Amino acid sequence: MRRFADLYDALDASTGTGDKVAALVRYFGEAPPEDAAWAVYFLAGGKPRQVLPTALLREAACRRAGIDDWLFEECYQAVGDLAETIAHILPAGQHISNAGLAEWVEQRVLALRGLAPAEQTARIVAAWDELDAGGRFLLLKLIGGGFRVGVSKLLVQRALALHAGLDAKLVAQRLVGWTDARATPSAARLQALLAPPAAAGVGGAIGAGFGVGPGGLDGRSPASEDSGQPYPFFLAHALQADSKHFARRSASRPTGWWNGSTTAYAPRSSSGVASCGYGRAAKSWSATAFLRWSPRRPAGRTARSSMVNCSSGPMMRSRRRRSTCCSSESGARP
Amino acid sequence: VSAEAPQPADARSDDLVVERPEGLYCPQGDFYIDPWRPVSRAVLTHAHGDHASRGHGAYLATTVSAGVLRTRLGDHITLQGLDYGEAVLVNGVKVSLHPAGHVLGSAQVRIEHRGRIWVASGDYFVSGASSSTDGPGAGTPDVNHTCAPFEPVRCHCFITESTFGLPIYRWRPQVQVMAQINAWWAANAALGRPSLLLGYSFGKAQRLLAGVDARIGPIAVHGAVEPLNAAYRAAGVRLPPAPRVGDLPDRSILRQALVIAPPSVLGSVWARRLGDSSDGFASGWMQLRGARRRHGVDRGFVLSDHADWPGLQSAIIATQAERVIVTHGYEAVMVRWLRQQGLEAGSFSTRFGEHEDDGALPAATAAEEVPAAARSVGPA
Repeated sequence: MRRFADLYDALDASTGTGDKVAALVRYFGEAPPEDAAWAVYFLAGGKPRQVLPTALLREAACRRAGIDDWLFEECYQAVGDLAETIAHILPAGQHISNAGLAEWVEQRVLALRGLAPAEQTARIVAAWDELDAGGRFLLLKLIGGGFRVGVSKLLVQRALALHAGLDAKLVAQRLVGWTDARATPSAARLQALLAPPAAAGVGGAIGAGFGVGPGGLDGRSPASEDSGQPYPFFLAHALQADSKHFARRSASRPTGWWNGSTTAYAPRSSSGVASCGYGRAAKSWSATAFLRWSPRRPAGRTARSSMVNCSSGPMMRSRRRRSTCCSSESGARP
Repeated sequence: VSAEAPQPADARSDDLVVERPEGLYCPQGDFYIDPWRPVSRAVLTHAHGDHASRGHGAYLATTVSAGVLRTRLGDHITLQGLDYGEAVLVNGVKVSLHPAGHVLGSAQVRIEHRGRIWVASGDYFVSGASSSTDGPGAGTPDVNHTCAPFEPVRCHCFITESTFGLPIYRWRPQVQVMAQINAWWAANAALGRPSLLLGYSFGKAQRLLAGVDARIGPIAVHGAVEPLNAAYRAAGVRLPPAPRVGDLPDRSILRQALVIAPPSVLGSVWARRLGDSSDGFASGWMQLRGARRRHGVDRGFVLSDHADWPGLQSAIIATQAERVIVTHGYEAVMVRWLRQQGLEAGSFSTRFGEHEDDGALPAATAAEEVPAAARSVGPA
């Protein structure tokens, strides 16, 4: 936690992207992989569901600090942030813990879920006593899902790419779905994320993170690292080419693409039901992750396009964003 | 700041200090404490701009602060100096000054009349943090090493400041803060980038100078800081050599230097002249991320010359006062809290805390410094 708190301070203190990337690269170089995996998760915007209700945190903090609710409210008014308020009103920690980020998140934070409120209070107060103000602030931000620091996902990708000597676009592609709520960051997943491009089985490892079976996303065994991973595009404007130039790359029948406006093009599955992606995993993709298309497919396998208005679907309503996607770089595909 | 309205102290006929439009007034002794409007007799707690104003007939202050007061208020003032603990009778009221730990020469004013004792604290530094987390110093309270540390004075009524009167303000041991500053400075020096450290020129600047590790690189100061350094050195406080930036023979050493300047230089021509510097601000307000953001500095270092929340509480308890009057800061919060603790509490509304260090730029040095800076960026 100390190391992650130092990283947070470095990111928070600096306004230059170069400094931030340097701090991230330094962190990835020093931190144990299981900690770094969680750091990537949080820095890339991952938010675990809140494990403790705010009211419980507030009450526990008041009791620990020996102050009344009105005084807490005065402090909160001055600070403007609940986690920061709690971090400051508590007396200094007694036995500062050396546990890493992964241990804190997995064994202290996520383990709180479902416990009786009295037990939760006891555990969180004990945890506060093992952290300084900076550590407590971070812990509370991680618990509350409000963690953010002035780092974009793009910067994290750049830093990871620099750290591992990879192409940033490949890292970006592998990072798709990294912050999925059902996926737990682990050392193995980080290893897969940072593996050399040609390494076999990487796609499987990433796919496994999605809760996808060993067969891969579309029933085939994962032959290359990008199997099933959508390609995150960064185009300045929508591609004007006709969709008939694009062939689908998998056995399912995707037939369209996102255009980023309220009306979305989405693939039509063989059952005729609109879905936005491949198989089960696709449901967890955000709209910034896109379907992948391979141009110049062999004749006779041209995709049929059909327009589906996804904006009314429950998934789309919550996930719709202004984004643009189009073809990936890869040409021939078996 | 607070939703609560201030709760004025219940005035009684025999109170030793009351509120007047001119400032805090002692009717029995016919003198004021840190008045903000011109009066005939003023007792000053310390030489910061919000406590020491011009135009009074006669001044009473600590001997140690006399030098700084004369620099700021003019050589012509009628000033009587008192040593710490030395008493003087003013119209039958016994007045003595006791260390407050805030800045050089800062004092609490003890007033004794017919067996009743009141103490007006001015500004004071008491920290809830220990001077170190381990080693022989562990457990002893942190003190400001550049001036006489706060001494609790037993009294019936204690008039306390409340600048940081919220439980969110808990200072870390200053050795930790100094270590942060040293690390920041060393990192900048390694990159060949000047480290511009902002702090009030009277008090904070000297505390920074005394606390940093001078082996990291050269130290230079803004023209407003130098005369105060001289005053501290004259009072026997050891400070590392710190020439004014304008007096440096070779400006290229600035790339490894720590430059200490008042906060008002942020964004000025003077600061731009340093080149691509990293700026840090040393202040108690830097405790909150929001405050750090608003100041727009790269780094905030939480170092204050005021008491933190635990410090305020322990100082109040140490006086054994049964009545507490709260001034400048979070008065309403402190009053409500103290009443809950079973004390009789009220507040005085004062003008302290406004423009704490307005006197930071003595006219002469400011005039000297700014045109030089302006010239350097001129059309030439």
